[in-house]
Amino acid sequence: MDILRQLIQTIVVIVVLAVFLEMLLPQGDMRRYVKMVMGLLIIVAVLQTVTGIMHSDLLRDIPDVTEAPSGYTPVPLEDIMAAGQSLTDANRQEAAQQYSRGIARQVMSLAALNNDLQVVDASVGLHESTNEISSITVYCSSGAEQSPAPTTEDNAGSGIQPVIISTNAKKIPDNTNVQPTAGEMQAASDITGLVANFYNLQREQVQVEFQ
Amino acid sequence: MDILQISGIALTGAVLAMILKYQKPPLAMLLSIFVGVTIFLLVLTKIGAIVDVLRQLAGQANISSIYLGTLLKIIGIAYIADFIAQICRDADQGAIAMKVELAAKVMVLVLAVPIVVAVLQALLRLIS
Repeated sequence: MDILRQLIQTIVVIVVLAVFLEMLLPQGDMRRYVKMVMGLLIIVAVLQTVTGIMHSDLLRDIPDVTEAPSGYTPVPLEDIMAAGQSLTDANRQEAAQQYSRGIARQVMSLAALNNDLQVVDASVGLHESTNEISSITVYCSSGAEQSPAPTTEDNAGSGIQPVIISTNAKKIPDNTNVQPTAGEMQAASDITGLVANFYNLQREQVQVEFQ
Repeated sequence: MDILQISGIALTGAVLAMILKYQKPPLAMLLSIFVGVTIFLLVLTKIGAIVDVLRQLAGQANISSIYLGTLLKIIGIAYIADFIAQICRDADQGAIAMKVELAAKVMVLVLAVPIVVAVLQALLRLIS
């Protein structure tokens, strides 16, 4: 009932305004033109009042004829655009990280098929713009020399190496003192070929490092 | 009181213009323009009150002042063009008067384009 009362009240005011404006119109040839514009404005105002009360999206593409309620401070368009852009960037970064983690797990599973080497970790580098795989690094523990002891407290008891994943092609510093055997080098070459073929990469993009 | 003032100015101007029309026609023309502009300026000061009432009504109907401003601008264009066209017709320059009216019509339509587009979009959305 209140909605109907408000609708009628607004339309009555619009009609009074239209009559008042009509009295102001000049008498000459211009009168027809001004009347036409005034009629259109009244149509839009009435339609927006009706659709605003009915919560319809009939006039969603039309700039508002009616004013926003008092106390409402509009947010500048630049702020909205900047917030949207930052949200998009954050989502894209999160998606790239999840993609990188998934690929790293796949690479570890693939490399683990080779029984000659013990794969401890894998890292995947992605292109910043296209998010394509730029490099894959597989970390293996050499049988000739034991892998270094875990440094974090969480991994101290389990002996599991921490998984390091990065979205860029930055290499994790390796232990240069490790000298793999000839068999391990052959196994590393097999893993490189397997991973490169699986992900359609060049052999140079796949590296196997011993720890 | 003001209407007496305006009537006095108009009557005096008309009598003087009639006298000057036979002796010095160009001066009669200038006099009619002067009287017209004076009356227009005198009325112009009163329009503020009407505009205030219109703004108040538009505020009650929640109509944006931008749209009301556009409408008032259109009315102003119409009045000025009508006024100038009449002066031109008084000076036997009907062609110039028509050009002024044409210019005013174009300006009114240019100002009305956003409203026309709004109504058209609403109707198309209603149909589809």
